[in-house]
Amino acid sequence: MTPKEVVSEFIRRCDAAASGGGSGDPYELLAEDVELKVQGRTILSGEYPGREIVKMVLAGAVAPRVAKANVEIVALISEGNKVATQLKTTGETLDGKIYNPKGEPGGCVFYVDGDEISEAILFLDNTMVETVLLGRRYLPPSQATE
Amino acid sequence: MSTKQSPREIAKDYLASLRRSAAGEGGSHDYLDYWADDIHYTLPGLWPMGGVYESKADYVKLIAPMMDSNVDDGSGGEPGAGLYGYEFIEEGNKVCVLARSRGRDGRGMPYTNSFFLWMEFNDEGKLVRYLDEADFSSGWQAFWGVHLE
Repeated sequence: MTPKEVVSEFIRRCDAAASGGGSGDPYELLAEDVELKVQGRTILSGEYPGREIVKMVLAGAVAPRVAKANVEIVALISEGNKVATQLKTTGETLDGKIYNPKGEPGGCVFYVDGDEISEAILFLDNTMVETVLLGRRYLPPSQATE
Repeated sequence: MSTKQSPREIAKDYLASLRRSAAGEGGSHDYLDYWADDIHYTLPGLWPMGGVYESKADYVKLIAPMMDSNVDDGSGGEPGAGLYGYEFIEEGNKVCVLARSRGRDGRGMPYTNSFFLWMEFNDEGKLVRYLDEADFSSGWQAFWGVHLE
């Protein structure tokens, strides 16, 4: 498969897994020593070294909050083994909050080695992560506690 | 800016223009010279600057004032501040840029962020579609002083 095909198939499998249908294990397309970075300063942000940690720590932290989700590629370009994507991630939490109701895209860059993803850098909408996924809220400065 | 330049080259020039603006060199909005008038600009998130803007005029009217008052804080710029690209992925008229930024928050403390920029250019080398993604949760806190509960 070309790097674009690997990434497209990975996202297809992620969507199928997140929406509760379809076939194919997305983790099979991640190298065992994959390095995933989630940008920002939320509790999901940071480095996830290895397929097991991606599955058990990152996905394991998100799954209990999510009732259903979809992820799709909005745009995709590649150069050599590098693939850049705009991803539209939408969904609903178990308590009925809608994640990304406007369908705004986020970004992810993938590095592909053979038929596996060896590295990925994910940019989520962290205002959506904090409020919808994690149930937090932003307080104006006057309401901040010391 | 030239149509003979590749998207990667234009993006590098654009980032340099942003840095000059952040440093207080030249006009504070000179980087808008790289934008087409009918640009489709997406700034994701639930924060005050978040939204989809369908023209340069919309940006100038709705976003530029917040850039001036909250992000740039009217201090006149800081040498070395701005966006620095470290990864460029180019295909056709498009380039994706990963970048790091440096500036100061609303308290004057050092502030950094990471950016995913998706740029598409027209035949004249102007930006026509532009996705500007970063950790705007921290940006909202840094430049507006909000706090998470």
